[in-house]
Amino acid sequence: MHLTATTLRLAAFASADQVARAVEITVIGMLMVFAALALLTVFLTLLPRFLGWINAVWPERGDRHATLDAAAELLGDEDDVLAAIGFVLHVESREQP
Amino acid sequence: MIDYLTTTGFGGMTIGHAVMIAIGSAFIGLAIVKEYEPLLLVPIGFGIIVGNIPYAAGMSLSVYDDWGDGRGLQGSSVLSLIYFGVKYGLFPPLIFLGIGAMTDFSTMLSNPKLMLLGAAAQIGVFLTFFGAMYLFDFSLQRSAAIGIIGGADGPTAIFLSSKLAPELLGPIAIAAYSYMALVPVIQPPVMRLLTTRAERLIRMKPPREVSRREKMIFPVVAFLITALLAPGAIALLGMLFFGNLLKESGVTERLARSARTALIDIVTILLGLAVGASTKADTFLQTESLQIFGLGAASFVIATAGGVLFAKFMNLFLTEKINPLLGAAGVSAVPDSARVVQIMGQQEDPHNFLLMHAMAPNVAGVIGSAVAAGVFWAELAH
Repeated sequence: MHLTATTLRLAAFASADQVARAVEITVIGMLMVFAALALLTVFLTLLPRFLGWINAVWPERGDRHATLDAAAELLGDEDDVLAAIGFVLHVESREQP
Repeated sequence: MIDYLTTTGFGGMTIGHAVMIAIGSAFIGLAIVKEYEPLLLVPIGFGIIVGNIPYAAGMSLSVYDDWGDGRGLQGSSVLSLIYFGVKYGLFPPLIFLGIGAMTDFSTMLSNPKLMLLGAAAQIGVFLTFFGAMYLFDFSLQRSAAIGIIGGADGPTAIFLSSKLAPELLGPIAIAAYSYMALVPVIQPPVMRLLTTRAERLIRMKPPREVSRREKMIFPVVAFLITALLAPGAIALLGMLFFGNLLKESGVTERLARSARTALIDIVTILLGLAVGASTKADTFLQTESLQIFGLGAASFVIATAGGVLFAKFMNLFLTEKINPLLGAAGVSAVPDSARVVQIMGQQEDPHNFLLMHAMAPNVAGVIGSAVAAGVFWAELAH
């Protein structure tokens, strides 16, 4: 009888512990998610201002990579370009005396 | 002859197998007829069918017949080798790499406060975690794996389940992907219920142009902030932001292209098939699975409501109001929940274009759910 009561009491305590732990994890979890995204929000809000100062000293050049990407897209597949270069070289070499 | 017949699939077929095959066929049907997440539901649906064909005992065919049972690599099944990527959490980070390489964070960078909606929607994850433990007496580890369904992010759900509750991986993955497919059905009633017509008509200011430097700095700093706060999310967020850096750096376009096309496609095929094949009738058709499905649905509803209500709360302090429908996109499910926001907005005003704005909380939701998974893993791994 005594053993059963003790066991029941232990079970109740374990359950209460589990609930407390779940509440703790829920609160910590929500805080961490909000902290991460709030910090990112603050950072992203300040970033354009910070980059404004940087740009005054070290201006952002024209979008070189975007230009290269666009050019690559216009040129198409690398193999096609190589084939075209090869064809021109072939024609040139044939036309030479 | 009769002996052989008993070894065939027909001989070993039970009602459970037949039900699972019907579920797999229903997934394929939904994907083809309704076009609900076909890239996921077709591999998963077919995987369910593959995993539920009965075979004679002793044959190594199941995803669970791996080298760990003493027979070594020779004794493991082909499916178990594919399942390795699910079991050890390899596939989800690779999918995140592809997602990072295809995601344009510009709208989020141009209006950072919308990120908070992605945080608010994670309330669905944590309340479901609590509910699973409190109402259904799941262990904390299992509750966390169930709660993350509300993150509406299949790879994150699989990653966390593989770490905390591998025995529930099948039902959790199926629930997560099913509800992601059902976002257009689950979210609109909640959104309509919690917003007025006037709120749904709010128009958003066009996003500003974002410089290349901002786009390049973002993945590095975002990774540092999130990983330092939740180191458990390093694998997922590291790959997400790495993929995005490949895209935005401008010097690794070839790698970015591979990550967002061939790599993510291959991994999606393997992951979908393996997850589907892991749903065995005897372990899947249990009351527990029904509870997981119920909790998953609740999780989606709470997450949607959390995002919408938080947008309304923010409007109390903002001079430039946010359309509260955007809050529903905080449930990550990229890009389906953003599409739902666009459709709902256009039902009220055909000239209101919310899709671009909704992508901000949408991708913030991906980050938020990965952070939530990281916190769960850190807190409950031991």
